[in-house]
Amino acid sequence: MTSTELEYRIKEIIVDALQLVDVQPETIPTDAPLFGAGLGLDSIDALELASALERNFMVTFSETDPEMRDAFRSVAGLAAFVAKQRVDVPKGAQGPLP
Amino acid sequence: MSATGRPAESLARRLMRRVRRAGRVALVISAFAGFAGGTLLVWLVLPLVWLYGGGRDHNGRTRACQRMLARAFRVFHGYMRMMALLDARVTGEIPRRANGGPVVIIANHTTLVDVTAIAARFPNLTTIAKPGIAEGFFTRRVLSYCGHMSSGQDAIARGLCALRMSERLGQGFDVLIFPEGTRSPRGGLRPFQRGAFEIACRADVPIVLLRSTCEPSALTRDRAFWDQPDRVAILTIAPWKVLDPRDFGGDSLALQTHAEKAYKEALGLSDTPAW
Repeated sequence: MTSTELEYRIKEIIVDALQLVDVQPETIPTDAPLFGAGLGLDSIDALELASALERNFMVTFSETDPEMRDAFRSVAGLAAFVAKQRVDVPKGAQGPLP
Repeated sequence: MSATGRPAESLARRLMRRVRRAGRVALVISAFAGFAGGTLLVWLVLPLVWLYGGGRDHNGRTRACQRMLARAFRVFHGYMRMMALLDARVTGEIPRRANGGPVVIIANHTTLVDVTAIAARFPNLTTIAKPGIAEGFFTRRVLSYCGHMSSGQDAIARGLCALRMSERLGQGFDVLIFPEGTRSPRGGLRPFQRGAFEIACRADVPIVLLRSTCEPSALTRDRAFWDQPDRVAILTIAPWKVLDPRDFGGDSLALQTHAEKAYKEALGLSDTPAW
């Protein structure tokens, strides 16, 4: 999966998990902020999104990791985090990509 | 000065009142100094409890640490009671589904010591602490060994914290959350946040509502901790209602609205915010 494909998959997950009815994945800017300005997501959205991403990519977001703020800053940040975690995890322990 | 000696008596009374008040301030400061000392002791002992107190299972070790912390809280509350500062009375049992299982416990947040009183009575629960407490040098270790977490500074951290809390329920721990996010205003209630209800819906577990009252009010947000009333404060905490997410179709917003309304009715408050 290329980084562009990963970013698009994350956008699909955002739309599905947060039930953004009038938003298409391709209309979500890759570098725009997800929280506050931009999509304006809140803590419940963060819960839904983190849960969906963990399920889909078999990654773990740590609430104590200061890098989380950067990871959740944008779709690009999430894609970079997911790609990094999947590299860090031994191949046999990875779940199947959707 | 009159022949009855009234002014002199009044002066004596004033002096006595001041002496008594100074004594109570000293007592409450000694209680919290003891609490700090106890935290240091628990900080030192918990790693040993973790290693040797709960077997090899991670959850068993967490439970052993929680029991240890609950004992420390009981000592603290015993001292507060003995010194006639605050008598915490946490009564009743946590209602559960027929097959048992964990619950989300919510409560209005009357005093600074609600959480210690509840955890002393029901040790095997995890809770969310403010970052200032959860990330302190001594408290961080104590809380993390016992499975407690920081609420986080922003929406992302709060969301991740809620996710981990719903996992704690999956591990069989009860989760205690004060849905107001901080202590209640005196005689009032702040608007509820949705996290506790979302966690309960996601994990499909009941929410147990605890009602907390303190008479006379003490250790409230608008008073310094040492500013104690002149007589012993009675803190009463008890379960009074259970809400099942299944009855609300798993809608956390509906659950939140219902719970907030129920608390207002139970506390005799109008719908108008009281702060």
